[in-house]
Amino acid sequence: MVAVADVEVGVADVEVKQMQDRVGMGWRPDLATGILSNLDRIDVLEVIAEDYYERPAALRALKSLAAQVPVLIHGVSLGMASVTPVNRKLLEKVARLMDRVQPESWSEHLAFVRAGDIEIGHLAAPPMTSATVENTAANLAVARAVVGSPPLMENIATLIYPPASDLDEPAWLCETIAAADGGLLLDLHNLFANSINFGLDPNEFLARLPVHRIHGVHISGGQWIDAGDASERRILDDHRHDPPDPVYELLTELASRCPNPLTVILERDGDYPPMEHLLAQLNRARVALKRGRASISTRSTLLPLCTQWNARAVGGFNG
Amino acid sequence: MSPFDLRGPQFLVFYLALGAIVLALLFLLRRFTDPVGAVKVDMSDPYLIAFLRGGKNEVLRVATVSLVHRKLLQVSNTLVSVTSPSVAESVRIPVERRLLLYFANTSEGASAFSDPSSSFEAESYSEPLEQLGLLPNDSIRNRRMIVLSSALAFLVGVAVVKIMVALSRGRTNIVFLILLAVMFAFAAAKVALPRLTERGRAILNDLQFLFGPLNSRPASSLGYNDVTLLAAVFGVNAVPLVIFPYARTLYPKAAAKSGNSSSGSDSGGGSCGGGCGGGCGGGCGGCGS
Repeated sequence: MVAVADVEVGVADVEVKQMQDRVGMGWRPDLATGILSNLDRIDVLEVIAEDYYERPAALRALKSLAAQVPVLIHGVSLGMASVTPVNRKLLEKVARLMDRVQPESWSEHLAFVRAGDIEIGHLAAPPMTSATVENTAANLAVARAVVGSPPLMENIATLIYPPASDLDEPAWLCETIAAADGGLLLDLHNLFANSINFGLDPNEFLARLPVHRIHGVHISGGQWIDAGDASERRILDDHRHDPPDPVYELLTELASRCPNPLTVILERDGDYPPMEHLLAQLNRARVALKRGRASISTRSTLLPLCTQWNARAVGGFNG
Repeated sequence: MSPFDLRGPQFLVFYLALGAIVLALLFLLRRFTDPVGAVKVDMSDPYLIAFLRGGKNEVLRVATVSLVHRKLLQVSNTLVSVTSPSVAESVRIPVERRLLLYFANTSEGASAFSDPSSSFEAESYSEPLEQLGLLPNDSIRNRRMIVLSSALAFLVGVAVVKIMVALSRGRTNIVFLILLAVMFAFAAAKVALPRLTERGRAILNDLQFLFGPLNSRPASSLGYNDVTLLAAVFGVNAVPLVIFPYARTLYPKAAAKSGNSSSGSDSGGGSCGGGCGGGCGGGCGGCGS
């Protein structure tokens, strides 16, 4: 692991004046003291929407929190990437939460979480097909109409490549986001884990994405696990470890290409280290961003390349 | 029929109803005129939070707990003293420095409340809280006093008129009415002049909610900052006994009533950040959130 001190860049020399990138973390009650004591070092917080439904005291506290630091809402229960219509009652809860808290934006996952009346309790990757592209776009249109603003959509990690897929993940993401005319919340560890687990090159994966639609970034960590037999191993995105070096490298790469200001959120869901350790990771993300921004002027936009690669990957689809 | 012509028991019932209405109006008037809405507060400053919750003495209690935990002060029975003569030079926060200077001479813990220098530093936290509308400033206090005076004048005035009417009719059974009037006067003062504004009360509740998880963490996982914040937000009695076993001996009065201040928290909300739709961590098979 590269120490923060080792990756210093000449911050003053970096041409990032126009890019107001921000780095923050996911609000977790177990980290409350550390977060609230260090709000001067955290640009933004992301809260889980479902933690505030029908909990008046929690909602009031969230409003107070939002007065201290910019807050983003992140949902986990809508199941937008599904062939079934998104649940309107859940969307109305999101709308009420948005109305009460007035966050900067909200986001959800490109996943399905239920089948019929059965809740999976898990973010599951849908088959990557034209059908799920269409249905996801339709669900996003409903979400936009009910909530009043479209969510940023996050790519998810999966240990099993979705059966019946006829698109690869980068192509499916490109096509879905384009069909929905939405924005992408890019989880770089999910991208990294899926790439490693299914034999893609993470850099190529990133290069194929529509960077002009990326506004948010998640970084997190995971661990290697055995996948059935000892000869095959996969990365589990468990949010209990530090983001690995390649995730920061991908962040630099993304920052060098993305024309939008980026909001980077560090996710941690257990095995919490001392707060200073997490703050050091935020600093490392800032350094990675600045390093990428420093080279932005020397890079051309990758959009045409993305389109070419996707056309090749999906046999003629022009995303 | 004039209410002053009501017989004793009937008038007492009337006066009870009248007093209840006045108290309700006082409560509503204050709620509608006090500052409300969230504001940006320095949540990293435990002494600011301590002052909001309990005032000057609470700041001194929390600072003492923090200094003992950091081994800059030591406790023997009810006496507190510095651990070395030069410790005051090692701290930057004025109220902590003042306390260390005060306890350079071994003293009773609660005696610091009457030390002018320590009290002055602790009182300095009131100004930013007043500016934020969390504590009443002069303008709010004046408004509250005008409202309270009007309410008292009305309640006492009605009682006095009835007493005069009763006396003029040769009746002397006025003790219950006097007691009722005094009781309502105290209640009115309590309702009209709370220590915090509505905004302050709401922020304190929110802080206790947000810091709620701190209350349930094992003592071994609490760092210096955690302990100070725990004492600031929930009171010194919320600090685990293994960290600060002196709360009851040093501050018996505060300990006796700390049930109110230290139990007001909810759990702080949330699952594992809900982060994986219910299946987070511990190998949810790549929750992917």
